[in-house]
Amino acid sequence: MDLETAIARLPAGARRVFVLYAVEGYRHEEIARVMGVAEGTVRAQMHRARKLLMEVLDR
Amino acid sequence: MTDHVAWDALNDYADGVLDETTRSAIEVHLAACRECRGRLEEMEVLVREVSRLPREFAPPVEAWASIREEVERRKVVSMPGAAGRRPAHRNWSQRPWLLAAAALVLMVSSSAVTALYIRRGELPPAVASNPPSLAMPVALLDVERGYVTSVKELAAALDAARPNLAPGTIQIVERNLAVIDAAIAESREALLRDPGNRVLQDVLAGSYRQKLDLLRRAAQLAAS
Repeated sequence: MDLETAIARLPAGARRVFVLYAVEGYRHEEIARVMGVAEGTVRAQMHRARKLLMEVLDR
Repeated sequence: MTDHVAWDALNDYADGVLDETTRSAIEVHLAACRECRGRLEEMEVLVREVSRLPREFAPPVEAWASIREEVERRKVVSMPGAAGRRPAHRNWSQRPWLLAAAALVLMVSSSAVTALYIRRGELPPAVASNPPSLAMPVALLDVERGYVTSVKELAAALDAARPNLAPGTIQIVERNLAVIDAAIAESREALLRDPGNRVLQDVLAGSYRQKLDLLRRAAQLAAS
């Protein structure tokens, strides 16, 4: 599976946070503001996104 | 070595969001643990690969277009980002009056649409009761700027598909939107009195999310 497909298959919340961080270059606190969530939520979504991506990309 | 750095902590280390004490402790461990260094490298490689994807890469998520639009709009002033990553740019937080003006324009321009399911001929209560002004707290603007455009887009989508909805469904949507908008208006008023209250900010953001969800569901129903 390629990277874009793997990202597209992430749960919506994890996908938004991960793309804002990795593609757009936003920091956690900025993502939290844009999405209207707590920074802890952003962290948790990043953890989840990385774990799922690594699993599906078999890394 | 058996006590490896926890997955979550290694993630946070990679993202540079740990306090200095924790970061230093992890660095001591990393210096002695090849396995954790390997996991960290994998995390960093993943982000580097994603950062090289085309900027127009946009996974199909609800309201993603709105988030991108919001992000792009703020990319005016270059600010230093993390090493090796694209810099983040924004100037809205430094010029709240600009955001206030844009918010007013967006919400007023969407009123013709939202009036279909709120009260014909009136602005949404959240706007009518508290139009954005230069004195609006930045905290309030911070909460709202992530939602105003999304609401407008979804409202437009619903308006376009409205002929497909049964009158009874439209009434239900109107009633629910009125309830949510009343909650938004109440939270906004409270935030104007107490701008630093994080609970109120969360409540307001939650109400906007409810509104987005309702609009999205109604638009999907009309389109199906």
